[in-house]
Amino acid sequence: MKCKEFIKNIVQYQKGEVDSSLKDEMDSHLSICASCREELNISKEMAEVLHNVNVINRDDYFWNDLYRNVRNLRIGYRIAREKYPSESYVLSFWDRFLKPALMGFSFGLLLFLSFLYFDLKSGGLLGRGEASFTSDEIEFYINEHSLSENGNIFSQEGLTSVFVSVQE
Amino acid sequence: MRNFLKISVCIILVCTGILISLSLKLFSYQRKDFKALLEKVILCPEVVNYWGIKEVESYRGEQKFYIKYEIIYLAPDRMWMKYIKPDKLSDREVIRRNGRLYSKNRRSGRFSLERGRYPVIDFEIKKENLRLLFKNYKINFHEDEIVSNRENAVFEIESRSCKKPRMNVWIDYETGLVMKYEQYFGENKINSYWFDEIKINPEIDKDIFSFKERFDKKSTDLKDYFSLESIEKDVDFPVVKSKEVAYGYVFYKGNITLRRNNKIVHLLYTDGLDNISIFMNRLSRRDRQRFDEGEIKIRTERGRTVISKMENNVHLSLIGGLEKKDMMQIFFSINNTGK
Repeated sequence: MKCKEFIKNIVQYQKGEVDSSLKDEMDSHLSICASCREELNISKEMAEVLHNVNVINRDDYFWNDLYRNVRNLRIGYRIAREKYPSESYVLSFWDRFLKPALMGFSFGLLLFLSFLYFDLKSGGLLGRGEASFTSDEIEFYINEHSLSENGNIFSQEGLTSVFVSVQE
Repeated sequence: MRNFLKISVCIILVCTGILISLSLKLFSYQRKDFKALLEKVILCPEVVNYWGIKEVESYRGEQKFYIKYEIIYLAPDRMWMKYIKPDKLSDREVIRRNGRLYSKNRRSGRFSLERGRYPVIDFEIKKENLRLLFKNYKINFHEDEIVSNRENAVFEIESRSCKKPRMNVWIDYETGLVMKYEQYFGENKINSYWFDEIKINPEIDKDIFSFKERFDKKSTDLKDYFSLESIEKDVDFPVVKSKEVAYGYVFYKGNITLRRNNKIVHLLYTDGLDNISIFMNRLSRRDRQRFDEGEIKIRTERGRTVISKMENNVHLSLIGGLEKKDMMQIFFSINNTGK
């Protein structure tokens, strides 16, 4: 027997699923071929490792659903509904109502908060009176005023107030 | 006996007269002396070149600002300075040339107009202000003092009317340069600057003032208006009519600044030393909702009192460094926008 043939049947040999004549041939090959002995050992170890791995068995519904979804994604849900009317497209209450409502509400809230932020910052519709007047205009007026504040006879370079206003 | 009394009364009267005239003469001499020094102060930036290290302290309420810089001044217009302190501004260079102030961008190494406009501040000192200064302030003389190895005349200047900033000024006899300056409000110091070192008329390398001017679209020249009527012609709302307001503040000049496409009128009033500002602008329909007609609002921001109100859709703000009650006096003395 050649090594190639031994390797081809190694899994069946390991499981004890080969007939007696083939088994004898393989046994005699094993006694003379070190590399095939090594190969058999590796195969045994691998089988042992794989034996300990937990494989999740999905039910038929999962595979059917997966298939349907992949197919529908490719051809489009509307076409799929027309093409396969017998299939059910029942969505859960969460998917149908709560999820879009929650997403819409979050988006709306985000829009409102950003509007509120920019409006208050610019002292717009919502900001009224003292609070809105504070920030921008007063800041601008005081900066302008401070430039002239020390522009008197004793500020010969006329720059002191400019430097201070740069810091302020 | 009667004759003796008569002679005595005559002698007393003559002596009193001599004393009065002497004191008057002394006062007028001092006043004249002070005026001569002030004229020297005015003339100084036109003729004196110098190099110096200068320190500035400024207080805004609880906050204190401290700046130290090296300065080279080349009369009549050029100035180069470099910050030494604070650390965050150190090595930042500023150049004044042709009445414009440029600061150097540390990343690009280019100079651009300070505050993106011209002029940053008009520090042209008018002689008319001297008249106001003498009218509104009294001058007390102190003993001469040495600052940075130079002999200085020392004056204390305080207001005759309300509580205004009080100043101590050290003026170099030889050049008229202000060597040291302190400004107080009550007992609190609000501004001060002084020369640590100074060299008068040193050799100055003129190359330090040269740099390639970058065309800046943002820069707009700020036009000065010297009458209230001329300002009113350039805006679509009535401006204040008062050329003089309470405590001796007189209209000095005005500007029109564009901000968010709104014209803002800035009127500057001076009493010879201290300035107050009036800002006016027409409010947009949206902005009008933010104010109640005629309601006066008072606040203190960064050590300044701000009083504002809206009347006939025009918003007016008065800003100055005086106390609230004095600022209110000024506010009520303003002849308002009219109809």
